[in-house]
Amino acid sequence: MHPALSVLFFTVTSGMGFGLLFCLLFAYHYGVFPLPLNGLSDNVWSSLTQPYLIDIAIATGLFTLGLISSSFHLANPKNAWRSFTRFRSSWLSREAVFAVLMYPVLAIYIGALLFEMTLAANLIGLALLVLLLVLVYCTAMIYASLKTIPQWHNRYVSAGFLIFSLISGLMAYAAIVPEAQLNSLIYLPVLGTGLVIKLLYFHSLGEPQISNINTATGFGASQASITLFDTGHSSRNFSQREFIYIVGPKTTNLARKVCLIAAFVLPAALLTMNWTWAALASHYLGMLLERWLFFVEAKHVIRHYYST
Amino acid sequence: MKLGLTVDLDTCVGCHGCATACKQWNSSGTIGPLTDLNAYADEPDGPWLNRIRTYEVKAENEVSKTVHFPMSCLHCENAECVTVCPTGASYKREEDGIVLVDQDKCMGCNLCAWACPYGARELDEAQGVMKKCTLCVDRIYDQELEPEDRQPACVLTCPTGSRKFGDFDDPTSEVSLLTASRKGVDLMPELGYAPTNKYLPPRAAPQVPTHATSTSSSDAGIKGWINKMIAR
Repeated sequence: MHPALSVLFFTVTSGMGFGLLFCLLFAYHYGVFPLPLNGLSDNVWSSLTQPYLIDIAIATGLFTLGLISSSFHLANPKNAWRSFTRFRSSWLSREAVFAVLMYPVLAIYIGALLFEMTLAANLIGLALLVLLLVLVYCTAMIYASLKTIPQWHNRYVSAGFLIFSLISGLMAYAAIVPEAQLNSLIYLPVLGTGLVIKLLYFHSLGEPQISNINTATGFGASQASITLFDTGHSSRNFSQREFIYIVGPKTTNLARKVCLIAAFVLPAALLTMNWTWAALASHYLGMLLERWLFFVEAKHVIRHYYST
Repeated sequence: MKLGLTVDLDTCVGCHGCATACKQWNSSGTIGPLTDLNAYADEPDGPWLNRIRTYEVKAENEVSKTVHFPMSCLHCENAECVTVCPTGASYKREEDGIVLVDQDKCMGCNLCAWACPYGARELDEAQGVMKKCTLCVDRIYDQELEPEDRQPACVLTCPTGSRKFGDFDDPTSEVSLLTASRKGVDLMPELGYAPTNKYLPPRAAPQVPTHATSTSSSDAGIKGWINKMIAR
């Protein structure tokens, strides 16, 4: 699959924004890891400048940047509003609905905080946590629901998107909330789970595929050897540009190693040294490489018609 | 009704007439234009709703064959391209099973093309919307045309008659009978898209004995050749 830069940037950045918001809400309402300030001050309106709200704004900025970037891969963005209409069947439509729903729910949540409606803030905070999980799952299912791309049509894709989003959020949390002093008992298991899921995903890419040029052309029963003689057109067409993106195994094998080290191993080491911004930078670059690999190692079945 | 095509791989000669007729008709039809980019340059580009690839097929104990393989939208029963469409631009008609793209609703996200195993959908980059075979929906129901002309452009133009159009729900239609007698196949049946269009595999041709002719005299060779031609 052709790795469109806007899609790589969108999925990694918005994943980090959603993960960061998840970590902030979790920390604030359930106190799993420490916050910069315990709760809000007595003066309601001065609390607008409080770190918790600023951190929420940073998370919102991150996923908004990602969402804006996602519209760059639309060839006809003026119809983008219509993508809210097929909620019942399309994962992309569900993602769009939930992504846009984030904003009013978040606004109500911040309102509840400012007016010190604790019960409401707790309830809406919980709703936001669920919404974030559902939203990232929808993003993953856009890819995982495609039977045409066997490398994506498996259980590691949705598990991966969820855990990678959480890891990105945790890395951002550690960096922008330095007072938090994340405990290694929190970040090591999370990073480890991400590493294992990515390794399992890489392993699953080696599984035999059910489609081949024989099933594609219908000469399957004859077990004939089939080779493409002529594509019938003189330059690369839309399908070839979009779906057939060939990178040699040498490059992808190296990229896999760099991705695993940069996204998971190195951030763990840097966090133990409390170099939180370095851990975040390494993880973010590692995730961009992970998403690039996610596309270039995904092989659409149309390649069988082109003998590639 | 379940309208679709049969494509006879035995008689298709790979002339690209179907693709050309398709491009001509649909450039000005309901989904037109089909914008060409760099039409007179080195890398001409643009959406085609039908493409013909050519394969060399070599089965064991058989001579190798050249098979021309036209592919357009197969109007699947489980059309995942419609399921994934977030805008509702892609739809499958209840009444005849034709899969269409509403050009006014498409936002050009390409996800339907990703979901199609057959490469049947191509983005018109000038217009930013997805293009695909309409089964000439603007022609097959046109009461102004003679009944025999109410067929897709590709079927009408095919010089060898290798493309047939009809209703697969009707067991007595030409396409149903052809599919039964020629053992028509689905492409990539393992994906479960249940394509409507069927491909009729090449007939098993007897092997031509090429080695025997080289040893006989030219006289007997020509005589033998004439006899063989008459016998046909």
